Parts: sequence; structure tokens; C-alpha cells
Amino acid sequence: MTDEPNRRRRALVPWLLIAPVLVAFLIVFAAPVLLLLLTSLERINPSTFVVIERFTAYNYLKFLLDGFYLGILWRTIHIGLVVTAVCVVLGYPVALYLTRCGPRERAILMLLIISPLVVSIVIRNLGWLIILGRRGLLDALAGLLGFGGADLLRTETAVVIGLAHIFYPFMVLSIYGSLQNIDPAVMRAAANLGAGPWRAFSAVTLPLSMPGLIAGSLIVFALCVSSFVTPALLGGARVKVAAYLVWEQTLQLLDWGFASAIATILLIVTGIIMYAYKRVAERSWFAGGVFQ
Amino acid sequence: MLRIVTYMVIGLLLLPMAVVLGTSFTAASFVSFPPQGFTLRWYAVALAKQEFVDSFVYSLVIAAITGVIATALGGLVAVVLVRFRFTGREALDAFFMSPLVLPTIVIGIGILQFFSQLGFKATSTVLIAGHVIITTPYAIRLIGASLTGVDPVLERAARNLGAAPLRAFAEITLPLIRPGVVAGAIFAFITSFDNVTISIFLATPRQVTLPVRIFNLWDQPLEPWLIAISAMVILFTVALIALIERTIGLSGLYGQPAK
Repeated sequence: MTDEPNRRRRALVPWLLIAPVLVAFLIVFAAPVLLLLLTSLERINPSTFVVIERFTAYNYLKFLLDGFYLGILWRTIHIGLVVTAVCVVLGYPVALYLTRCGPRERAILMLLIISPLVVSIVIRNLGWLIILGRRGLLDALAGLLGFGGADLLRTETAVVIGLAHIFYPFMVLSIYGSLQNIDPAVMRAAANLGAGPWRAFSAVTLPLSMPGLIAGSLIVFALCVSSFVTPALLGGARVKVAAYLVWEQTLQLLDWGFASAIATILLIVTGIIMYAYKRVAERSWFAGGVFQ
Repeated sequence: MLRIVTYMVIGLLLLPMAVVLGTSFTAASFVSFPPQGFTLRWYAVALAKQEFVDSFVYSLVIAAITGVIATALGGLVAVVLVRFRFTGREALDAFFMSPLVLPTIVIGIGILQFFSQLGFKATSTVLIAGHVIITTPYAIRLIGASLTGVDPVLERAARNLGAAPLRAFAEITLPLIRPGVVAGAIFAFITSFDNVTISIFLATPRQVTLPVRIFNLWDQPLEPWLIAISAMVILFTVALIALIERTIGLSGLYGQPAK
């Protein structure tokens, strides 16, 4: 019906509409990230901050060949794994309960689980500082139980607790999303065939909820390894993680090349995980959150 | 059994906020839990800290401007992605979502390096630009979700009755997607208000947002007045949640339909 030039003009409409936003994103987002990749190849003289080499793998080698930095990378990954495990262990039963309770209770519980997300991370961390530090809640409890005292501040444990608290809701929502999709008839079938509640869970519910569990784990792990605020506040300079190094190198030591190289390594690690997440999310009926 | 675990975990989730609120009333001059006695003194001390009050106002202004811009840009992108089918659509979608996937710290130092190499000084404009990048994806998703539920036939009917395209959109579609638009704006506001990782790299020498100002005390001992400030921010946030809950339902924010 429509002639050729008309159709071509129509095809331009979405691009014209989106052009201003696209240009803004290219300038403020794409260009800076690309520049970061270039900067990561620059080597500076650490005392004069002058660039002495433009295209070199120096920063990457510096990071990957030094036991100190590799230790920090390993610690970052280790913290991410532990936090993910904590979120799975504490998240699965809650997600399961959400599918079994009444709609009213579920709505209230959902609200309670999600509401910490809107409270500033810095302030949630301050709460943990009070709980885990000297003269804190844990200290008082340990004293009551006759353990003397407890001060977990500036330890890896504190960082794990703080991060698990922040990313926990993502895990629950993810697991709940796939539990919800299990047809109740499948469960009844298992029961009719003589499976006890435990057997029905391990043979039917758990395998069917794996996509949500995997997607939740990937997202929590990716968010953990690139997190900066919580490790800095609860772990400080004693529990340095990769993002802490990026900050330290950028604002304190002013070695932007090295900072960019560490940031690029973080980018690659999270990029791989997020790609895996997308694949898992696409393959299941997982009704995912905002990250898709 | 499941129920006990659930309520214990939720107790743990809410514990840090409860502890902050409780400690803010302590009569002692140091931070401890359980708090000792009761006083509102630290609230008075906190409100007299002019630089923190300034930072709070600055954060509000930045978050409000970010919210408006992110909602406008996000709305535009959502309309294009939902209502048009064209080559490159999927790639565009992935591109606009990628600020959520990339580590925020990468975006933060990227923008810092880029604008300082261009010779820009750190200004509030650059800070807002950074916040817009990380909040627009949320607005796109939330507005897009609303838009998917609106039948395009309605808008076409208005067009057939003689309304100009913009008018048809403003009078027919916009009222129908209002929950998504409001959710997008509030979510962008909260995300911007809470942000440290972008703000810390783009902070101007004169003005600092509230979370960054609190964060910058990271290597110093906790003071009760700082806890009082935090308590006030929590109360402010609770008021916001109540507002969201009344308008669209909180669970709508995280992509799970409210049931």
C-alpha cells in the first residue's frame, strides 16, 4: 500500500525519536567506558604522574603477576562466593515459605523483604557497624553468654554479613520467581505416586527451581565482586577488595592507568557472569527482575 | 519450621535499621547497643551540623533533577522500544540496559576520566549526568512494563478522531501508564539519593551529597549525632515507601507484579 520512500521514512521514526537519548548515552556512558579501556593500557611514572607509555599491558601484568594484588582478587571472589552461599541458604526457605503462605501474609512479607532495598546502603552499613563493633549488640550478647567480647569490624566476616544483607532480596525474588512457576499438579502427582514431603522436595521442587537459584546466585555474585561501599565501610583498609583498589588508585594514588586496568578486569569478570545470567534467564520461564 | 526461619531472617533484615533508630536516642556520648537512657539531644546536634543539612538538601536537589530527566529519557526510550519494531531494536535495548549490568565503579571512574580529559571541571551537571545514566534503565523498564499493558488501538482511535500524535499520546496513553511513570521517577530518585559509587568520583570540591559525606567519615569512630542523621534519613525513606505503596505498590518496583 505504502510506497517505498514513505516506508523508509517510517523506519526512521524510532531512530529520530531515540536520537537525543542515544547521543547522551554515547557521550556520558559509552565514550567514558571506551576511554577507560584505553587508559588501562597507559603506564605512568608514579612520581610525576606523566604517561610514559601509551599501549602496554604493563598495568595488567602488574596486577596479575603480583601476589599482593592477586590476593585481593582472590579475596574479592571468595567474599562473593560466601555471600552467595549465605543468600542461598537463607533465601531458599523464605522463598519456599512465600509460595506456601496465604496471599495477605505473602504481600506483607514481600514488602518487608524488599523495603530494606530503598534504605541507603551507607546507613544499612552503619547499622551493622553498631551491631558488630565494640560496645555493639554482638559484643553485649557475647558478654552475656560469657565469651568475653566480640568485635568483628574490619573483618571479612563483617563484609560478608553486610553484603549478604544488601543483596539478599535479589536472591529471594529470583528463587521465588521460579518456585511460583511450578505447577501444583506436579507436586500432587509426586504425592500420589507415594513420595514423602522430603522426597517430593528433593526430586521435584528443587530441580524445577534451579533456574531461579542459579540466576539469583549469578546476580548476587556479580553485584558482590564489583561492590565498593560496603567492603570499604565494614572492612576498610584491612579487608581491601578489587573495587577498593580502584578507588584508592584513582583518588589517592592518582594512577588512573592502573585503576582502569583493575576496573577492566572487574568489567570482564562481571560481564562473563552477566552473560551466563542472561542465558539462564532466557532458557527458563524465570520471570526475572529489572536486570534482564 | 519454614515459618520460623522466615520470620527470623526478616528480623535480621530489619535489624540494622532498628538498631540505628534505637541508638539515635542514646543518652551516652558514644555509640553503643543496647543504647543507654533516652534523649533527643543528638537530633539537635545533628540539625546544627550545617554541612550535613546542606548535603541533605543538595542530595534532594540532585535526586529530584535526576528523577525528572531519567523519567523523561526513559519514557521516550520505552515508547520506542515497546511501540516500534525495527532492526537494531534488541541491540538498543541491551545498550540502554547495560549501565545496570556494568559495575557502577567502572562507570564512575570512566566518567571522571572522560570529563577531566575534556577539560571539564567537576560540576553538579556532570554528577547529574552520571546519575541519569544509572537511573534511566530502571525508568525504561518500569515505564515499558506499563506501556506493554496498554493497547495501541486506543491511541490509534484518538488519531483517527483527529488528534495529533503528541496529543493522542498525552491524553490517552500517558494517563494509562501513569503508575509506571511514577514508579520510574521515584525509583530514579531513590537510586540517585542513595548513590555513593558514582557521586564519590564526581563530587565537586564545594558540594557533596549526603551519602558521600557520611561515607567520608569511614575511618573515624561513630558519633551519636551521625546515627541521628541516619535515623532521620531512614524516617524520610519510610515516608517515601508509604507514598510508593499508596500509589503503585512496592513490589511493582522490582518487576514482580503485585498480587
